[in-house]
Amino acid sequence: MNVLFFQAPILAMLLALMGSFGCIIVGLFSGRRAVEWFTGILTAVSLVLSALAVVNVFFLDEPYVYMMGGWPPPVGIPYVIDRYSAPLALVVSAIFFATMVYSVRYIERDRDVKWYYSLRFLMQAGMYGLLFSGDMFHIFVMLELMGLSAILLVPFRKEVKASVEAGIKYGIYDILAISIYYLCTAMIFGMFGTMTVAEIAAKLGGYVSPFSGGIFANTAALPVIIALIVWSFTIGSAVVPQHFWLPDAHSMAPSSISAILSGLLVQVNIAVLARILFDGFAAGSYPGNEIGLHALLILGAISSVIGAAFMLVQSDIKRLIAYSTIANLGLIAMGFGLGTIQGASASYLHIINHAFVKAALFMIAGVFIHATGSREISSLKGISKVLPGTSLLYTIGTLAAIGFPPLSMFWSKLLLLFSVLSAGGSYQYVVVPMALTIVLESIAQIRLLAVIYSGEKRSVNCRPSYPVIASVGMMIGIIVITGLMPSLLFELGGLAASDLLNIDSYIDLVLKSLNYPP
Amino acid sequence: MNIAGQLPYILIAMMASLCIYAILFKSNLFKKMLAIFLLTDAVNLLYIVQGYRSGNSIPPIIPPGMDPSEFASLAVDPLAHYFVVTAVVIGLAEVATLTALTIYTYRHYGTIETRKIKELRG
Repeated sequence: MNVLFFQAPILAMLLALMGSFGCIIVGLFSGRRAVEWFTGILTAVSLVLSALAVVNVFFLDEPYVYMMGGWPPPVGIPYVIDRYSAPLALVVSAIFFATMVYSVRYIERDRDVKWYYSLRFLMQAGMYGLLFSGDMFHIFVMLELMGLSAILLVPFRKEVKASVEAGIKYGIYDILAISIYYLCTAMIFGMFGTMTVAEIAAKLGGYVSPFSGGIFANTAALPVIIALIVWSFTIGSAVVPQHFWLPDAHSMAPSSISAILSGLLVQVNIAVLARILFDGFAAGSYPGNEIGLHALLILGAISSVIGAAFMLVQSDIKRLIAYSTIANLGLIAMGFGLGTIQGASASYLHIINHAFVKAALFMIAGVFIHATGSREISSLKGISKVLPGTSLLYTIGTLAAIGFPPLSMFWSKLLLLFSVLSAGGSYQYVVVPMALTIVLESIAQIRLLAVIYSGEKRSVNCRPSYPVIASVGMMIGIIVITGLMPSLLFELGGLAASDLLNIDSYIDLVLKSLNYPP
Repeated sequence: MNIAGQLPYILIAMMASLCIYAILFKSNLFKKMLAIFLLTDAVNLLYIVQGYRSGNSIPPIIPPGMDPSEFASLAVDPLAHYFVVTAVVIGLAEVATLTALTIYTYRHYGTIETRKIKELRG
């Protein structure tokens, strides 16, 4: 086994952590150019390292467990690098790299950029940790790392009144969510005596650990813990009725941060929730544990319809895109809530596609807001006559968002519909809110497109610079290319979902693997 | 049923639910902040109570010359202490973040009553 490939995902996370402190040190001794080069190089290296991890897991080797400090899992913290977590980490790296290139010109009028890049690195490290971690308490620590840096980045322009209000609103509710999750870890500690996700599942199946024995408490209380965990993560991933912070936070943050928040943060939350529900609490195979999936399905259905309906009445372009995030998060929650392998693979693909699409849309919205000096949709009239290239990119992004056939989100929406229809029983009626969401979202997005392409030629404050267009083009290119290769996408989704839903192989991987390289 | 043994859990449950109520329904930002920190402290208490062993228990530091298995049967759970120490450190970061945001809110709006801050629609 190649040591570099083996260590790659951990190195990416460590680079992000060190970059956070390095940014401040570099910023103290030299100017903003040095900070930007430092950040750019570290982000590019972590992108390469995550790509190496994906290559390793898919082509060279099997999924494996990295033991932090060499301690085997029930004692130490396992990092599970499998076909579910590694591609998501690559998506995280790619979007952080693109927004890094975008930020260089986007925030050039702001001061104190070293804090901006430093907090961005902390958020990136938290996301890697969340995706890979196989330990409940480590997930809590990483949630704090990701959440606190996001809370501080939302009001980065602290002289703007509304952004501070959005920040405090987001801060209170995100920290409430994390505190509830902390309460759940304490209850899990009392019931199972362990924090390793795989060992919880093993103990539910009757395993007696050499370190912590069996289950200490009556498992009749388990649905309470699961409900609390679902509550905490649905606040984090803005599923109705806990969605009220998202439109404010995502619309008031700088656009480069909105792209990360909307493209990654909420979806990392729901990906980790799926990992805990399916692998930790063996949802579907242990009686009483399907309550989490039912909650996800019902809340997701409500969430998608409400999010799409609110899109119709928005007059602010970033709020419209933010409500579209709520609708799509509802679709993802519904896919996971089905509990079938088709549903999980469709949701997984939707997470990846939605991440790129939403990052691209927010980045172009930032360009439009800089160009027109206003966030109102009505002020975008005639912008396609002055900025034809940017408008074309925005059109492709919007078409992908509404699921236009050759683009990537068409395939994941199609899979979601198929998975609902093939789930059978009363599950198939969920197709009604799903279809309604897709239709309403299409209407709202096409109305926005119509505004962009209407009106006379107008003047703009500034034109997008080359790095901005390059970073947006990278996102749009990924959307188009992945859309042209649906069979590859389906295979990726199937492999990831089988790694997620196959609890026995997950337990085997974590509790019995001793493949640390000598 | 041993009511005295359940008393800490009942107190913790009351404390946690009061805190969640206060975070959601009190309109003063400072009260919301206090409730968040008290919620973390309630969970810290839950950890400590679960890791505690009543009777003739000893601290989780192995005395010289003691047999490890005998020590393991007497000592309280050190894992709970580790979790609490980590959470206390993280709680410090929460305090700093929320205090800074509350100060900025006060500078911009002149108040920390969330009912009077209505720039955004929600």
